[in-house]
Amino acid sequence: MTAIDQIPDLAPTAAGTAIPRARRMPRIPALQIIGAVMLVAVVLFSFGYPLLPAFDPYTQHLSLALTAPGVDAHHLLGTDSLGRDEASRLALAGRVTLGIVVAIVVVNSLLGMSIGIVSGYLGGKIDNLLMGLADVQLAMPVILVLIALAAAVGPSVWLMIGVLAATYWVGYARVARSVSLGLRERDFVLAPRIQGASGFWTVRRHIVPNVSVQMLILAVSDIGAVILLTSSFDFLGLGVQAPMPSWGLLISEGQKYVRQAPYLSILPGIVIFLVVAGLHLVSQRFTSESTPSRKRSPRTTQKKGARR
Amino acid sequence: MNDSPAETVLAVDDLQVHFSTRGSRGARRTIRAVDGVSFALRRGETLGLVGESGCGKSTLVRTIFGLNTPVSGSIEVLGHRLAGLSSRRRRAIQNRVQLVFQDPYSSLNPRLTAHDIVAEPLRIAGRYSRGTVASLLDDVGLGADALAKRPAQFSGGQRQRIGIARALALHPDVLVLDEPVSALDVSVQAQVINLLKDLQEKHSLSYLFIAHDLSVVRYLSDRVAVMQKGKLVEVGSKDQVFDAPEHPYTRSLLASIPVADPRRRADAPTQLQES
Amino acid sequence: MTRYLSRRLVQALATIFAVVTVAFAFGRLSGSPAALLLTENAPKSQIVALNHRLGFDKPLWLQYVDYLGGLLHGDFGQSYRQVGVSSMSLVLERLPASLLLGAVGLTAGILLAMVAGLVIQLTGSRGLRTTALGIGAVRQAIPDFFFGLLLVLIFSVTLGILPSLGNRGITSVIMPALTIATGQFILYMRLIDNSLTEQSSMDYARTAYARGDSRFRVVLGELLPNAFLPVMTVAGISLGGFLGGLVIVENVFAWPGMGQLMLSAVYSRDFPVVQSGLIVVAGLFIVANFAVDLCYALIDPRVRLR
Repeated sequence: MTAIDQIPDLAPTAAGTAIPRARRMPRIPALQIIGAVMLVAVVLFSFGYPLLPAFDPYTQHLSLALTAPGVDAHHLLGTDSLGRDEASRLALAGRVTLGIVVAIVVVNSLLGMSIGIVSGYLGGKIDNLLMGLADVQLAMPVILVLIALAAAVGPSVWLMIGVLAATYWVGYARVARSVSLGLRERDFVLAPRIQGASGFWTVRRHIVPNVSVQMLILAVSDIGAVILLTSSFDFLGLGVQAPMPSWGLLISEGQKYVRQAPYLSILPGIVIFLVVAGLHLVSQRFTSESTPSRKRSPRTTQKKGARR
Repeated sequence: MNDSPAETVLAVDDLQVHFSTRGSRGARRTIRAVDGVSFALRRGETLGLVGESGCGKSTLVRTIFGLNTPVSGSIEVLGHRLAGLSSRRRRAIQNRVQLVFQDPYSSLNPRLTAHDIVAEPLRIAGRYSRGTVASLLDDVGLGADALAKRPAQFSGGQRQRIGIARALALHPDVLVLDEPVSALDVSVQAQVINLLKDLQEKHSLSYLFIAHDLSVVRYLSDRVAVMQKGKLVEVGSKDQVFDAPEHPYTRSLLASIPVADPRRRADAPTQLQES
Repeated sequence: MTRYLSRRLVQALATIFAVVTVAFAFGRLSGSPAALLLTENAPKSQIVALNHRLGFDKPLWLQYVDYLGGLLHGDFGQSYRQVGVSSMSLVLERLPASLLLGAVGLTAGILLAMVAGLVIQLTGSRGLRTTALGIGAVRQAIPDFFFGLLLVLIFSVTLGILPSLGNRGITSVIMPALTIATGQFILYMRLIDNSLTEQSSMDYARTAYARGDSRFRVVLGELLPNAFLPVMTVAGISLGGFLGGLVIVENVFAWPGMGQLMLSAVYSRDFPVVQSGLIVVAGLFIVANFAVDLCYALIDPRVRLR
């Protein structure tokens, strides 16, 4: 490698002369900033508003029921059918939904990572067994499994978390497995093995750090999908159960009053959109996906439902 | 080399390592990667192992370190057969043979510092001390400022030094060097080779030096073994093999060494330049 | 060909068997359903009697055998809530409505995606592509049920031009189908766009252009049939997610389909209905996958059904 190759901005072109890279389009993270703002706004509201003295999602002011937003100074986002402050309800629902979603993603990523690493690093029969399990659950749509179990034992938020934990780990496991497989034969993983490291040691020090990074990336882009999924389940009554509020539940409750008080459904819907779109913008960068050039091969896109 | 009766530090006897693969039509074929290899490495000597890619060198190395299981044959380290020992004893004996990898760019974990990389074998064996790590790196010519740096901040030659330091951490008697300078620039190769020579003297090491660059082999080795398709086709002292090769394969290998003086090319196998 | 067919048949039976067994296992998870079906303070004797009538006091393996035997006779169990009514008949009653909505929605979505993809390919406009992908991405961030609700808000509540509930005539299918179609749009649009772009750089396309064929003819005549193959594959693979979306849309619009039926069975804890529903869905899966394979074999001469 010559010295010129090592100067990052002066990569040689085919003609042999170095042309400064300033000619390339600089990446404007405008979309990412917008996404981050959307995301932060919702998170701040959900976790910050409850800290304010005005926060009161429980008290019913029946005389003020179904007040529209902006009418009453004490209830800037209006009230629901029982006169409860909608802003407070929304914030609380945000805490509940986000809390559950983060819990689900954490559980799934840890579970998937463990299974994937074990499968990839140990290989052989264990690998076949675990990946066989993965294939089995791929066949059935999650919602039907949830419906079946909910019909049998009754719907509850724990059932939803459990079903999602039992099915969603597969995406993480596959990635963890392929990374582990790739790393397993690398020289820097063989070196400690030769020097007496146990499997645990090697995995912990050399494989887990690399895999974790991939899991994190996957998890961040997964959160949006899980929010949509759990909100749908909540809406159908298969997830969070009343009286605990969640975004999906609020929309479901608001549906009954869609004629008199459409804002009851619209507000939570907008909030969901802000979070999911914000996450999407921040983690996937629209532009890199949207222009497949003629020369490049088509990239695999992250489809939300593809891992089910 | 010592004059006293040389002790055999590493002995390989009729080693057979086979792989079975599926051919294109589903028929099972057995590939004899190592097909009856025997040699003995004595204390303080350097045995050069040459052969083209695919001859079985890598499999031999992996088998010595327990990454492949032989079908038959034995490996003895310091007179002990590894197979029948308790796991603690086996680990202690196995640690007396260490490996230096070929590719300095993939043999070091890019996320760890030089200190952590060299410290790892010490930690595994429970013998860690910061002073030991520092002195190991010093031994290979890297100063204290190298401790906190990551592989990306080192050149190829320096990374290879780190690999050598790591291999020396457990005070081995034998170093297996798997093409240790092939991936380096020619100018750097000489530095690392000289380092290896110095270390060998300093620590009374025995080397199994695997390479395909014959001039380097000639410089470092006392004896040379030539491997082809899983078998050792020729073993002898350096002069014997280079000046009077017996096996036709050895001869063709030597014939491919570039000779600088065009007038001497016709006599190529008989006279070679000392590097 | 017969080997292929018999292999698929065996696979199908194995799948159904697995689904049936899993459904049975789920159903027995809650212990005796009698306590749930009766009112809170039902006397123990009533519970025991109901359990006996439903066959829940027999040992588990015997229940399983009875269950399998019943299936072979076409007895899929009676609904817990509508006594005397076969759960399967309830499900099959609703099947056509679901099939209709699913087919219309999916077809509309794929058509929309195809039109968009073709227009982008024909005009070569980057702006169009970015716009289409942007719209698709925005739609993706809106949950189906909310989108449906918005449609109801705009077209039923505010404008009053479309009915919001149920299945009363042709106009009822518009909004639910639109919800499904827009949801599927981005998935297939990206796929078709990538596929067409990939095909357009292949030799046979360049040959066609060199021949003097117009862009229109090349894109529609040569590229499209090849680009369509991945669409079928993806449709087959994403069937599971699609069915999930269908359940949600049926619920939002109170569309009288299987999904709606199964959901209300959850609320009323009417497990046999859910069980029969699962079996029908499994059957649909099998048929759909088979159909996709068949189409593939017909369109792509490289595939041989061994």
